[in-house]
Amino acid sequence: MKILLTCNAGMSTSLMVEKMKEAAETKGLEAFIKAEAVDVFEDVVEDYDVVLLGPQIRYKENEFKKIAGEYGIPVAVIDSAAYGLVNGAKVLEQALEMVK
Amino acid sequence: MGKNKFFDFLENKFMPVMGQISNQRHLRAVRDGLISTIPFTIVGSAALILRFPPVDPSRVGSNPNFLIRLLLVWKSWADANGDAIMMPFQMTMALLGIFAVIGISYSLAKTYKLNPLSSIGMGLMSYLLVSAPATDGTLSMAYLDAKGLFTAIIIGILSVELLKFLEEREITIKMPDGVPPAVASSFATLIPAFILMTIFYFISLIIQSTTGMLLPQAIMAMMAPAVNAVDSPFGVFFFALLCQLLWFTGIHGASTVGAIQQAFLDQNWMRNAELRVAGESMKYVYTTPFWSYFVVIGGSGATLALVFLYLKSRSKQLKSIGKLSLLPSLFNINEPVIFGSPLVLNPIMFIPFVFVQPILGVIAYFVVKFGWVGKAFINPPWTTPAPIGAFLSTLDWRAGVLVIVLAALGGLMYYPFFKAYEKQLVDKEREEQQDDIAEGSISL
Repeated sequence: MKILLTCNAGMSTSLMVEKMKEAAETKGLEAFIKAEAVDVFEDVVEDYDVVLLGPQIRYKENEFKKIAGEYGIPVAVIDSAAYGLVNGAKVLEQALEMVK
Repeated sequence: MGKNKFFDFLENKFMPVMGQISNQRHLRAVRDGLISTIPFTIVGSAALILRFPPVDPSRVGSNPNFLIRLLLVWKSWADANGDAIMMPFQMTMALLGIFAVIGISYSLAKTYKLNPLSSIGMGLMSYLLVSAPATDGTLSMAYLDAKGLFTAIIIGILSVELLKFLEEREITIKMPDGVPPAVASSFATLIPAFILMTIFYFISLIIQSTTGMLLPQAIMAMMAPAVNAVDSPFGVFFFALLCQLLWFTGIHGASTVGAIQQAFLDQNWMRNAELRVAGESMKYVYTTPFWSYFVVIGGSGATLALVFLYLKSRSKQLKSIGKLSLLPSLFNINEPVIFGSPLVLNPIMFIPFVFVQPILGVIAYFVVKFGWVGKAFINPPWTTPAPIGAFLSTLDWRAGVLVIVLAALGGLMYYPFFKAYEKQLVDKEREEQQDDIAEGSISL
């Protein structure tokens, strides 16, 4: 399971990545989770199973859906309350739901 | 316009338009191209810090302490070895235009899926052709620095657009199948290279003969009104406000505003650096470091002080946000504050979240303008804690003090609104707890 998080510079999503890794570990889930800056999205997206966007770049959603769609990778925006509270467990759940 | 109507307008009309702007191909290429120059400008900045120790011998008293004596030794070493120390600066920031044109033509070519290497080559050739007149076998560096930044941007975009135009019409040399692709692609570049060279050189010669100015000089003269409009209290207020209106709707305001103002702010701090190196007085107040450390103190909205208020809050939600975001906020990352409070679309916090930052920015502008704090000429990474970044970018300790004063002032302005919002949350949290007790889910 490979999860890509992306935001403007990959800074605030990297906070989320840490919390999601903790959550994955508690669940005993094998997951590779990484944050990247929005500019490199196109170059790295094909290596992942699912993509989550920080809510602050949600205007990219349609563009990214189109690009990731070519590889059959689902894309969604992270719920902004969960993002603000850095709720790793909830966002991990969201990612798992998307690949079901 | 009622309050809700105004918020609806922000959400449904303003945000999509601004989203489009930050997505706009050329603006994005300029921003990404400039971002690609950052490592090099940091190397150049390091040379500047070495070269200009923060000490002024004429102000040192008769009996300096150990630290001052150390700085004086550093200064005499730096003065004696000035040229050697400044070489990294000369090869980075004094050639900024070259790095910028490479970054911009590459970024733009990528969005069109053009061959990046030929696109860079075209951009660079066109830029050098109009900016660096060779005389007696020597290339002039005079317009390859920040003075050539706007030229690098314009030429970088135009050359890639022209290349795309020519490739789409297949105005290239087609090699027969069987010729190695590398050979074929180098021939494919040949005709566009001739055409670009002719066009840009022709324009450059016309400008020179009619105005007596080299193209970068002419572009600088043309851009001067815009540069002056940005570098003003109005400019600071406008961009800081725009950034916050966007963040209020939940989209990345700083990055959107950056797409518009970054080229100006970058040229401003680098021009300051060049003036400082030349021993002249610096000109610009509103620079990239000014934005990073005096405007977005602790992240967009100048929320650093708000985080400290949260730490002591009676609301569980705000308190946990305070704890969670203290460390990131010190490094100017505050998305947890913005989305967790939330400040996004929060009517109680609208006024401080949107207006504190522009007000602080204008105050800082005047403080620097009046010369109470030095102008910025060095650009540390934006994640440097604000007081330290402010000091490093100006090499003036008073800049660090100014940041702390501004942050405290911001806290005062946030306070009444924070209190009102806290009360609302505490009431809600109490209600929820009572509901839980009534339902028997919590035993007392």
